[in-house]
Amino acid sequence: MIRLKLLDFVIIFSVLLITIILTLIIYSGYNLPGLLKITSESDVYFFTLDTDRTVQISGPIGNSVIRIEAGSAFFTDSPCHDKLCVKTGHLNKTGDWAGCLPNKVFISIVKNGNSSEEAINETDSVSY
Amino acid sequence: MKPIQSVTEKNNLIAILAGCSLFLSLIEFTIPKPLPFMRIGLANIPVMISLVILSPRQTFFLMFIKVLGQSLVSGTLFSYIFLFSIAGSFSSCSAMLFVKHMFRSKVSMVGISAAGAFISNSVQVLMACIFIFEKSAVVIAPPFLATGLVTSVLLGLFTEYFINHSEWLKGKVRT
Repeated sequence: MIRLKLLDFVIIFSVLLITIILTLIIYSGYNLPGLLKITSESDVYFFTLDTDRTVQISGPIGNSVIRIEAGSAFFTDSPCHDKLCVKTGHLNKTGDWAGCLPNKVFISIVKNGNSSEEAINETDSVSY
Repeated sequence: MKPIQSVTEKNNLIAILAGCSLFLSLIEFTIPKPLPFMRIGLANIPVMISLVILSPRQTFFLMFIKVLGQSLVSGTLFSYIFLFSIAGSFSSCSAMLFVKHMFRSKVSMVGISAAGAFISNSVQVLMACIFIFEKSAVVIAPPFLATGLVTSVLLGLFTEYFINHSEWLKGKVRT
């Protein structure tokens, strides 16, 4: 009735293959750990959330201490008087943010747009 | 074998196919879709038929009438959707003509349809990424391409069957 040619299958399978590969590439990026973006008065720092560390950021009125632990980030100490940034608590989702206005430190979790390991290491070495 | 067709006869064919195309796109509007951009592409059946009975130039002309008519009916003529529509149709038309004339009898309508749908969908996703939305618009690409593949294969099967069995098409088919 309908005679399919070899090339039909070639086209169908190549389209299928491209679709599957694209699916893997596009959706695998979603499992990457988020990046913590720290904006201070003078600099911008990036840290991956999968390594635990404590970061001290100096601002106009002193040092803000930010702790990254178990995939979330939070202010542990701040020189400001109301400590709103510390009270904000843990940030773990993309788009979460906290800030210390007196000390001009702003932290937020941004999506990790780079799918390759090298890119992550690159931002790491820059931030050190 | 050279087709014995007058210019008027061929122009009439464009009109008939364009009419079919508009009718089919109206039918398609009545079918509910999970996402507005996911289309079955019923209106592309006449375009695929035109590949075997009209010249490439006439096929492009038919494609243009189809896009114009569709956007008039759906009210998207002066919106960005029209640009998406015409870019998708133009690229898929080019792709189908390329596959058709590259491989001639070595490929059936199923392959042509799958190639056309893939190109059209890719171009539209790319345009969405570049012009309207951020780069994150690529997340719609996999479901878009997957449904496009399924519907295009079904449409291709139907078109192939139609071309081989239609009494109306007999004697009109080139090559």
